[in-house]
Amino acid sequence: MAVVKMLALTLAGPKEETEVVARQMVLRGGFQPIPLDLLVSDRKMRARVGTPTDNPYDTLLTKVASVWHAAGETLPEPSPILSDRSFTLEKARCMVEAAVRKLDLWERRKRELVESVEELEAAKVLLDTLHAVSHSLEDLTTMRHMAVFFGRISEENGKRLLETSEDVPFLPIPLRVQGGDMWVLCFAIPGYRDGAVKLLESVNFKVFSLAQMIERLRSAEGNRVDRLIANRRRAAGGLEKAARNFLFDHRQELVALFNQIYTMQRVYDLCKGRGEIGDMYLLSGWIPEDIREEALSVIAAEAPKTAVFVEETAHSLASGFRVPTLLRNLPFVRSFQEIVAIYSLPSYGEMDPSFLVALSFCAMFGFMFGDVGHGLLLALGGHFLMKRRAVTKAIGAVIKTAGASSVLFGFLYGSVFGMEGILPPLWFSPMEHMDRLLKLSLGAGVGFVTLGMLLNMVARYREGDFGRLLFDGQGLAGLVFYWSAALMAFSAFSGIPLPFPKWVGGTLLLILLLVIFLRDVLARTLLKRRSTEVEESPVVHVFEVLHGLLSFLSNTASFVRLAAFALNHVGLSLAVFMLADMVHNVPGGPILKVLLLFLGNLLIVGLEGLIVFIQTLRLEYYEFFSKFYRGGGSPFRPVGWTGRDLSRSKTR
Amino acid sequence: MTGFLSLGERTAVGAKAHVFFGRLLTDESYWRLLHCDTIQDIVEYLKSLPGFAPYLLSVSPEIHRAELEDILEMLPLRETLIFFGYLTGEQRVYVRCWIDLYEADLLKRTMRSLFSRKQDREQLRQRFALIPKPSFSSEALLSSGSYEEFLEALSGSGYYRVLREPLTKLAGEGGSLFSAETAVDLHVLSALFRAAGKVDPRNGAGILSLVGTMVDLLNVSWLHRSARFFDMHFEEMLNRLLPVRHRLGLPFLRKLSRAESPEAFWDLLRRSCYGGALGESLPKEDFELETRMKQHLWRQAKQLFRRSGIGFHSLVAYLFLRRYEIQDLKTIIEDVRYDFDRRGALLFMVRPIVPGGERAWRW
Repeated sequence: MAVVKMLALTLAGPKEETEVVARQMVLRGGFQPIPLDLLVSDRKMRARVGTPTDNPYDTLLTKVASVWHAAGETLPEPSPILSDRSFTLEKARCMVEAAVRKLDLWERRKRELVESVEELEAAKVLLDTLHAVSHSLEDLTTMRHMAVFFGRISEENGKRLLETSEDVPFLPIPLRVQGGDMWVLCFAIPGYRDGAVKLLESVNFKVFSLAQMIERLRSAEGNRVDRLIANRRRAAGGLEKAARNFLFDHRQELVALFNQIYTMQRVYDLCKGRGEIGDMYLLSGWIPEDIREEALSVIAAEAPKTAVFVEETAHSLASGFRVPTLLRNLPFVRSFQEIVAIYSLPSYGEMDPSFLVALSFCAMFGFMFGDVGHGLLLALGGHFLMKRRAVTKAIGAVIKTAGASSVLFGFLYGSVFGMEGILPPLWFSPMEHMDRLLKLSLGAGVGFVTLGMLLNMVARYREGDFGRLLFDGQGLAGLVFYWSAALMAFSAFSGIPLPFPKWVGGTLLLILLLVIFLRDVLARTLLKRRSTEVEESPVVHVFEVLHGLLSFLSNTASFVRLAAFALNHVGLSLAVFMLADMVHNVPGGPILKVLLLFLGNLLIVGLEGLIVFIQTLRLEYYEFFSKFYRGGGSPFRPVGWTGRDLSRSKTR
Repeated sequence: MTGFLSLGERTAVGAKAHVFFGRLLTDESYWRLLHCDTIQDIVEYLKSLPGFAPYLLSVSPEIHRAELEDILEMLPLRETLIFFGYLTGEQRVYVRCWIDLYEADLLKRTMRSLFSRKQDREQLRQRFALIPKPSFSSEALLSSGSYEEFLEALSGSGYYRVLREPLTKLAGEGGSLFSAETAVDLHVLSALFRAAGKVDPRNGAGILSLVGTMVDLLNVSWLHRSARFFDMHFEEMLNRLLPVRHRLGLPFLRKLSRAESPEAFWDLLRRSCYGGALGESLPKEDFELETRMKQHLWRQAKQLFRRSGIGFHSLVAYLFLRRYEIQDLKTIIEDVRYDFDRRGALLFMVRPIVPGGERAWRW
């Protein structure tokens, strides 16, 4: 239950083993490649490492995809397949050739037919127009004082052509608008031929050659254009049908082949950062320590000539590239990782507060929203939202756990849907023991602030920053100061005398304050070491200390909200009951009463539940995390199969 | 009820846009970045800023300039997606069209990679995954080995019709991607303008004016560039303009296309509705007019943002400002990488910061 230890894995071996290694590392998951230029700091060395960018599977994938193109179908959704060592590039090439040889030919023929249909359709449009004005195609081609262009253009571009050609010796005549395309016949004076060509190019005008059109119609030997179009369409349709039948008969094998080729193409793409020196390859990446054995045994079996270097690193590589963070916790705690991640993911080597957050979140939420009925509704609501995917699985689980905690505190308070008296309180009733509630919440505040400071001291110890551990306002000096002040305040309010005179306490506080102010000086003189952090200027430090002292008071007082919201819950419930009682005697009163009770309880669960949720988060983030937690970790992102996977945090 | 929900939607996106606006770079940040000595310094500084930190957390300080620029370019898209989920109706359509600007950019990148036979497919794949519900299969597009296959992968989408002729021609006769890329740009920019026209003014007055100004200035910019750098006949210039217009109609654009000298062009422009906004003097350098146009749009976006109340217009203005901020950042990165004179960079930047970083603007 913590931040998982990561290892930097570097694999080096003969080039022929690249594919096997890359496939195993990528497909088994849990591998985040590191670009080699980050690992190799020596520029000369880096210059010798080449990073190949070609992918031998590109062509193969295009060929396999042509089956679907030929059949007029969209490509299947690719999914990764873990193929074994026997699936080599050569084998893949043979399989693809065998599968698509026939299809390739059909596809080419179909394309020719489609092109010819397009030309015939163009001829038909033009012939129909010319026929209406008693002219022939030959009349157009024999014009000596005019350059003629005929073709197709998108409707929008057609409008622009008409608009912009007003002032030039160019006359576009729209013939027909069909399916968003405009067929246009254009005339230009011979001197403007080049200008007309440029003009038409600028609007992406597809020109059909009149001479070719005449030739094609002549070769049709008297057949009508309509019939020719129909025949060619039929032939193209026949080829498509044959391709479709082929795909239908071999779909399973073809999909498997497509997926295998796609998988290998992705493996190559994903490991593009791999380097090559001569006949050797290099591949580096992060793996969690717990899959080390499995990864090593797989590599030993699949790529025996590959050497493996495993390195344990501190927080970052020499290049500054930080070690990614992977969290692994108990199932109950896992959902609370999201709560921590919303604030910030722990950096590698930092303490993971998820477990503490899980416990404290439940305790604080239940304390403020303790009610058997409302807790049950909240848990059901969380379950419903999770099922409807309105919230993430983790947030859904957090809501459910918060609901369960409310139920538990409901029994402790003896509260069901705001009614006290139905169940006997196992602990105490908030309304009847307000002073106790207040003391408990202040006690929780002191406890939390203390815990935060202790955790900060542990973190400082792990960093080796003993100066801040001992003399900082959030370190030992701060802790003693806080407890001394708390004890003196307790004594003043409760009237219980302290075991020592007041002036001793006051002097102690002053000495501690001085220690905190002189933190860096004391660390340098007494411990002979500097802080791992950049030292602030004295002015900033003074303000920081004053802020720290004030935050002792404000952070502790902030926990009074625990009591306030627990009372608020009872108060809101009472208000709902009072309203419901008020409408009881009006006409239709019983129905209105039930309606009010229903809506009122829904409001309490929805609105108050949300507010308490936010208040709990506030106490965690501001009062607790600010004492010890820094975050700023970058998530571990093992290679995945969709772009989203690659860019999303994969904390577990 | 619908009105209430719409108000809620406007308020939510407007408030969020204001939060995001607060994270935009300040003048001081611009100067700090300009004073960086290396790309590493820039990365480190950007990591400390709330508007950039979440996107650069896992970025290595050793990152290559081009990679950093790539990440920054996609940043406004990532932010747009945060808002997209909240929106309904014509506002959603507008933001979708805004996202399509990025989709079109990816499409052009994919075309270029197909053209140059050099592609980082995995990077493109990750970027395509950001686009919500694309109208084509990005996998089919990325797997295409020829322009025919590329076109086939687009069938059924709005891009098919606009790319059909340029790509067929390219496949048959070769040439550059110019026509294809222009066709994609015209398609998405026209759609954005039309979508802006449909946004109910109650939800965002001033949006059409901002997008319309952009359309007009893009048309002017195209005429300026084609007259200066390309050997084009004026009808050809006019045909490559956006098919939509706001305040500058075809007669004026026709006159501009026929301007015989830069002075005549400038004179005409000065007398147009945008004359005063583009400065007093004739731009001396080639890039200057375009920078002035962007600066005018930047100011207009800022005015739109400052308009009283929060609403959908806040988001539209923010997205413009963020886009220009990233453009400026790229200028700074280039300057730092090649160690150009930092003050010279100011001439290329959209945000008009004055030497010294004072709060006063240049205009």
